[in-house]
Amino acid sequence: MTDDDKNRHDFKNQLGIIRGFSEILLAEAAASDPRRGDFEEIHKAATAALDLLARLYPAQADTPR
Amino acid sequence: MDEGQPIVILAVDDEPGVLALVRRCLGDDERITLIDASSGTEALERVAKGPALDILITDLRMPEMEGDELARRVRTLKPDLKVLYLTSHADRLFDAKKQLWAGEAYLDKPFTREGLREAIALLLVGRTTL
Repeated sequence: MTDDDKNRHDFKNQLGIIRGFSEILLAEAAASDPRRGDFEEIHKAATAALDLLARLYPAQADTPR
Repeated sequence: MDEGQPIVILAVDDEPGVLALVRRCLGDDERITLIDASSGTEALERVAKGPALDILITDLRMPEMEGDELARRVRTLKPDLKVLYLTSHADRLFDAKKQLWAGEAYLDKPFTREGLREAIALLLVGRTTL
């Protein structure tokens, strides 16, 4: 595994953690919770960053060898 | 597995945040006992002295020992163990393993809470809810 592969893998991991926790916060927040908008923004940004990562490295994103 | 029966899960990942997320995803189910480990070596120690496990959830790519090697070793101790691979490199899994064995599945990272729960339920009881 090259350093680039490892960095991509680790970066994707971190983004997945952010998205995963924000998804749970959103699922558990009541409709009236004033923080909902904040959770949605975090979730949206993490999803966009994951999409960007896949676009930047389309061939390598899931084929490190 | 009978409905309502306790479920013991060993989760293994070298990234603490992923383990924290797995714990958060499963933590509100009182039937589940979750044990975690940050490496294959630590996981094997847990398996050797821990309670009977129902399912191993493991990252595929880890330093020292990769997830498929860990699963192979654990299965020599506990042949009936179910294995769920967490991976963002599913095709690499199939480089090492040309097929998944019975009782094995994989889940792409990043995963959702529902996706993780459904994958565990499918492995353990053959339906999408425990």
